[in-house]
Amino acid sequence: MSILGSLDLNDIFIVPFLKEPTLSTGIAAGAGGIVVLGALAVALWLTVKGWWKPLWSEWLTSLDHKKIGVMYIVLAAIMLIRGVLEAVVMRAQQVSPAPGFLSVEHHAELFSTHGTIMIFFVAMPFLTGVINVVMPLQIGARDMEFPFMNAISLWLSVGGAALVMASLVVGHFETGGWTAYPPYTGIKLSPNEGVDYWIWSLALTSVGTTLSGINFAVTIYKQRAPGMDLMKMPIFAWTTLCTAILMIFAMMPLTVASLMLALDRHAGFHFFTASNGGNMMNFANMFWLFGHPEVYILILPAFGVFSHVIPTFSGKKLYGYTSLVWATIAIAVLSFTVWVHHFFTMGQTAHLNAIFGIATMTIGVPTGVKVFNWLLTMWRGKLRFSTAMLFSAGFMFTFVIGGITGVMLANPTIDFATHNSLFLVAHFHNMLIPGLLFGMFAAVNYWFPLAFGFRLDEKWGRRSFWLWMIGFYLAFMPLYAIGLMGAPRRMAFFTDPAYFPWLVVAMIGALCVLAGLTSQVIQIWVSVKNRESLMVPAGDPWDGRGLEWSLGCPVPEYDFTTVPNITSREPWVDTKAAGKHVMDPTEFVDIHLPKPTGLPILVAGVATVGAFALIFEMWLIAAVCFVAMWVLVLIRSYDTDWEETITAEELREGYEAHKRLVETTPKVSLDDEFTSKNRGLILEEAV
Amino acid sequence: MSHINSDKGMDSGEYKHAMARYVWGFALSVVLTLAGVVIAGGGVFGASLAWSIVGILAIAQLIIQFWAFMHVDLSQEARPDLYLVMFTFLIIILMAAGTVWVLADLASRMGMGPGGMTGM
Amino acid sequence: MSATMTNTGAAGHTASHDHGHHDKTGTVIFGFWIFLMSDLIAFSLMIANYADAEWHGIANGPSPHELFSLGLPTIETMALLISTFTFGICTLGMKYGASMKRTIGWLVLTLALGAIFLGIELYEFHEFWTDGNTPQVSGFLTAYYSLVGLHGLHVTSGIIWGIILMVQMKHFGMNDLLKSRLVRLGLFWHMLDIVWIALFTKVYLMGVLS
Repeated sequence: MSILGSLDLNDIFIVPFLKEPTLSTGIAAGAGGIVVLGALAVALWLTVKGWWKPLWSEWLTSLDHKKIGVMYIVLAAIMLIRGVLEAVVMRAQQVSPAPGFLSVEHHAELFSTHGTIMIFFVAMPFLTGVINVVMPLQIGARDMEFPFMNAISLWLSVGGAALVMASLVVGHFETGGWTAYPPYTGIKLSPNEGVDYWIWSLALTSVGTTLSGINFAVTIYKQRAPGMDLMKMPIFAWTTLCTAILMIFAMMPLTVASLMLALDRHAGFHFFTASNGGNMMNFANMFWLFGHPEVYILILPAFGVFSHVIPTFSGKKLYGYTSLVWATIAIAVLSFTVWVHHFFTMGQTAHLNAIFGIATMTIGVPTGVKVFNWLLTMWRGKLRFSTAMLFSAGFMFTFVIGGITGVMLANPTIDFATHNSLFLVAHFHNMLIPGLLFGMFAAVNYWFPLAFGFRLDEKWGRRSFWLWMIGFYLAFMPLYAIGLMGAPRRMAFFTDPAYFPWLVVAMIGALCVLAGLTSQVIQIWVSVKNRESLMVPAGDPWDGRGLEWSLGCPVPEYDFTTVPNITSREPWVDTKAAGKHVMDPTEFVDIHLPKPTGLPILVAGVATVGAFALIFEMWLIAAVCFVAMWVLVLIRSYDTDWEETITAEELREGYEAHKRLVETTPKVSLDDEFTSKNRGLILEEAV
Repeated sequence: MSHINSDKGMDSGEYKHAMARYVWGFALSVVLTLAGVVIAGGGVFGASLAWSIVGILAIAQLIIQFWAFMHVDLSQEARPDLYLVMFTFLIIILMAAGTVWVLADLASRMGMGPGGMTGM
Repeated sequence: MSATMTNTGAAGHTASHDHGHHDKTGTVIFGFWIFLMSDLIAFSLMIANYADAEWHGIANGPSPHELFSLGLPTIETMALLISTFTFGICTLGMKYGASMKRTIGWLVLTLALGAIFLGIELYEFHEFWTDGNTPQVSGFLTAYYSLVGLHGLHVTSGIIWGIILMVQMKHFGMNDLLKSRLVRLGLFWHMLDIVWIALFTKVYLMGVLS
């Protein structure tokens, strides 16, 4: 075998099109072309602008939690664009006359990459990014506990995403859906590299996520500001803690199951084969041991976001803090007890299904508690419908519908009729679009000033909300209907004319969502252009309640000039109630921050090349990369000069400067919240 | 609390006390391991009774080693580790026992007796 | 302390010494504990898979009863058990100010016992393999090789890690950084013996009883 393993000319994206030009191969070649040209265009742009060096020294090598968080979100945004475009292509395929313009194989690749990307390379980096930016600021920490490991996590996720992007250019992705059940994904039925792309991109990102989980949990456990005991911690930190625990324990089953699948495929093992005593049902079992907690990894951070956005824009304290905390803990623990509901129809006894059906319905209870908490927070509040608040309100309304269809599906007898139908597809999009994406969009709109110092444009933000909201209903309500009529999921085309009108509505909905996404791109562009008028240097642009709003925007690299002493759940509200706009400093001391280092990106880069080598069976290159990766880690272990000091004097100057800024910034009332008068320090009362 | 440094020396009572814990842990582990081997290999008990006994011996040894070597006990400073281990075992029971339960249940419905599906 | 404290590649450090209660070594060790627990999940899933495979996945291959005897595995188990004890002596002495020579001596003994354990395991694999009982034969053999092999890979990486630490002790001296790393390797090693209790009982003791 050559050193290039199974790689050959036919794997290059343009070749199949040249050999057999059809619309389907043309679209594939076009997608590959977009990736290649896009990468070249970005490279050219960076070169022309001379931005390579600042990009490397200020971003790619940074260990600052805020920058790492922003890079996670950028990754999620890029992948979201691809995921939404794929959805639009699939919707278009189903409204065109059967058999449509895509080959069946190509359509299968599309729904597989769409699912894989949306879960692992949009949802996960998005929430990890928001946690990275916000959580340390909320608990009074200066960084994550393990910043180097944090960067490793980031770049491993980027590596995984890069592999999925590479599958557009070199070879194919798998066709077995994002769950990739064997025996279909075994070597006999899926002999090409597609499944290996899935396995190794997930392996990279799941290791990254496990490490992130450890980082978040230890940070919250050890780095809280003095006086902030667990029951004084902000809700977002609580949901992060529960998410972190789920990450620590739930990623392992995925890692184990996917590596077992790799051994089956390439070493002739019999974990999940249909012969020689393999048990393919254990793959579904292990996948969902991961997959169900994963659902709550995705949703809990968004719950945390809403628990801050809603009180802020209702002008009220969060209703029922304690019940929200316990509901979060209950959801986290219960999420480990319901995984069988993803395969009620696999053949186990009704007795076992009934137990898991009941456990599943039980999870609805703490979730319902939360919805009531948010509703009662809004009750009699003075509501201000900013973009973030609109997304939160839209979430509550929509998520409850998804929750109700979830309780329907939790009943095994109903599940037998609806499993693998578009009803299920509508259900989980109904959970994850409001329960994850709306939460993250709210978070970006709400916390954006912390990272960049200016607010986002409200007009385009609200447009994007309405387009997403309406687009969601148009795209997924029809799927509930034809799902109940019997339309199965993952079909390349339908021939039943009764489905057609519904699919046309869904197509319009998909275009609406695409318009919503476009509005968000425009929103960012407009905001960057008008950043001078959107600047909020004094911080706290929304009459916020959490510790993070006590800081100037953008937050300086050291976060806090002094770590505050915490005596209540809302220390910033207390400070403002006492008529102050700067928290009293405690003690100025020298602090140490990690120096930037290129090692994390190198380690992950080598790991990614190694994973690519494994996908195309280049065993020698893979082995070299594996050794090189550990050598790089070893080099780091010899490095003892990796901190830089910020002196107490610099911190004192930072504090004084911020204080002067706050004193000279004119205070504005809530009525001017969304105007250019808002330079920070919004006040509830008219001035 | 420090995990890595003590201001006492190796001739201190504290050191000898700590050492005693390792010696006890080791001695008990040896006894339990050998007891397991004797019971499994000796044929004194019936297979299912012997199966249960070696299982219990293993759990006992597991707890002893967590206590003796990994310093998980009821003291205040070991409390985070204790909670962590207990939570982990809750998850392990859910995942591992759950897996065995689900797969055995599936097998019972698919005519998979011991020896696999070859008999079907 | 903070100036010399660093990470073992995977574990970074941010200095927040202004928190009076902040104990960096303890934090890194606690983070490592969490990693170990996550690793334990992987082993428990492999054991669950093994339990299913030895029951339903024998196919045309041998059963555990036909494959296993208790002689060599018992010796192997004892080697690992003694090694976990010697590692305990090593780290305990280190904490109470033992010389580097003594620490390295006990560490060498520990790693040597680990190597003996591995050697016996590989010998056993070799015996099975040459009898035609390869992992490709049945679901049960797949589960056996991968479960025991996963543990063996952990022991191997523990030995390599230990050798690297000895080199680093010579390089840096016996400072807090190295002490923290040695304590973490110790936890890793003790955890591997705890995992082995479960493996030895499930695979071998219960195997001959089946």
